[in-house]
Amino acid sequence: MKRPPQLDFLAGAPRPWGGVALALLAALLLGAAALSSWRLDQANREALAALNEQAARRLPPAPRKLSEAERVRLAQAARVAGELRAPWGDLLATFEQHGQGDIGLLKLEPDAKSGLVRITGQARNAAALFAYLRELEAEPRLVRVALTTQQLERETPGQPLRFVIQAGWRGAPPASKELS
Amino acid sequence: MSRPWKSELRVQLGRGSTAVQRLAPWTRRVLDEARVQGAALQALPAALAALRERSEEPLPAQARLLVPDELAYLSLIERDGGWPAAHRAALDHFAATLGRTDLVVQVAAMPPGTNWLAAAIETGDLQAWQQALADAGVRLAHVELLLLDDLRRLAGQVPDEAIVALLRDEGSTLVRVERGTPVELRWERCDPRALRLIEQRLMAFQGGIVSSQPPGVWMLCGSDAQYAHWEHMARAHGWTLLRREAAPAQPEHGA
Repeated sequence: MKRPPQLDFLAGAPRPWGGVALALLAALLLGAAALSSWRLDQANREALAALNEQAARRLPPAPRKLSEAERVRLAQAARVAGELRAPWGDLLATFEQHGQGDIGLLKLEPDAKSGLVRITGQARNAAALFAYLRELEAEPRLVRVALTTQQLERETPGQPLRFVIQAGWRGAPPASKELS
Repeated sequence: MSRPWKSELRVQLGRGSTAVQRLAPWTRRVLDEARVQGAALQALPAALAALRERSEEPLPAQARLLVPDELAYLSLIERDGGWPAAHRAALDHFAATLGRTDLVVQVAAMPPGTNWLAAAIETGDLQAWQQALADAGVRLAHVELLLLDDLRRLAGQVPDEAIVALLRDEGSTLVRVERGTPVELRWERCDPRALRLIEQRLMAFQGGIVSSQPPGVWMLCGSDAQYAHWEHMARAHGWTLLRREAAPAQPEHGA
């Protein structure tokens, strides 16, 4: 005979223990999933906060209105920076590659602000000087080539012609703007 | 809620006597017993007092009470739809058969199908038992049926096709078992010592008059005296005679 269940007058409806167990298991799994999700969210928030902090440190500060003294200092710095940006090596090479053997360069004076360069040198004779001048005028990197002075140096052996040539160069940076 | 890790009182009511047993935790082994003659309302408090006086330990905090067949209305009903539907059907059944709607009703499913045991007790009886135990500092935790307690004990011995006769103080409960589950239940109020009367009713219930191969009879006696009274008759019919339980263990002092 199958063993019958017991009957208890003080008990209510029988509890579906299988369902209760399943419900408890489901509740536990949901709780674990929620906890895991919350932890992941917290970790993401912390990582994002750290990234934001790093990014904030790298960004430059917001610009502010300059005082008069600061504007003057900034203009001077810009001028120096412009001069530093001039292609000195390229200029020197341009002047030296012409007038081989008959021209000797003594000084190279660039002016980044005006975009001009002034060279001082010695030529063997007038023919060599004018030939050098024509070569410079044909140089594509130079513009407005002009002989500003020439002088025979009688006391120097060989009596070379001392000259000063002024020229502009292509791609020179524009004159720095006045800062407001 | 039952607390198996705590000791418990087991109260077995009878029409003529009440027995109260102190049961051990977990194993529910009987540690001590007090039996008092008389009606339940008088015998129960006396039995509780006797048990308390015999031990230095206080009475257990909870009790389980077995309702005898004489104090319960019992019926087998068929109902689909689970416990709520069966309980509703039981309420309707007792209202229709007894004209009573003030009973404490409970149902239990009989495996494996749609048979339910419907049981009802008097509300006044339940309140009286609760009060008697509360007066002794004991909470009534469970109120169960002696019928099902006995059937659960016998389940391993009784085959799937059988007649079970439970001898009580004021009659006998007959149970027809088919396919391993009770399918018919009958309470016969009579003198349990009336051998011929019970024999005839039992044979009629068994179907021995009309069948050449009636199912076997398993008869449960409530006491040694009943067992001795029925031994000869049972042997003559080939019935299996059983006793509910052996005498309780000797009380353990200082346990």
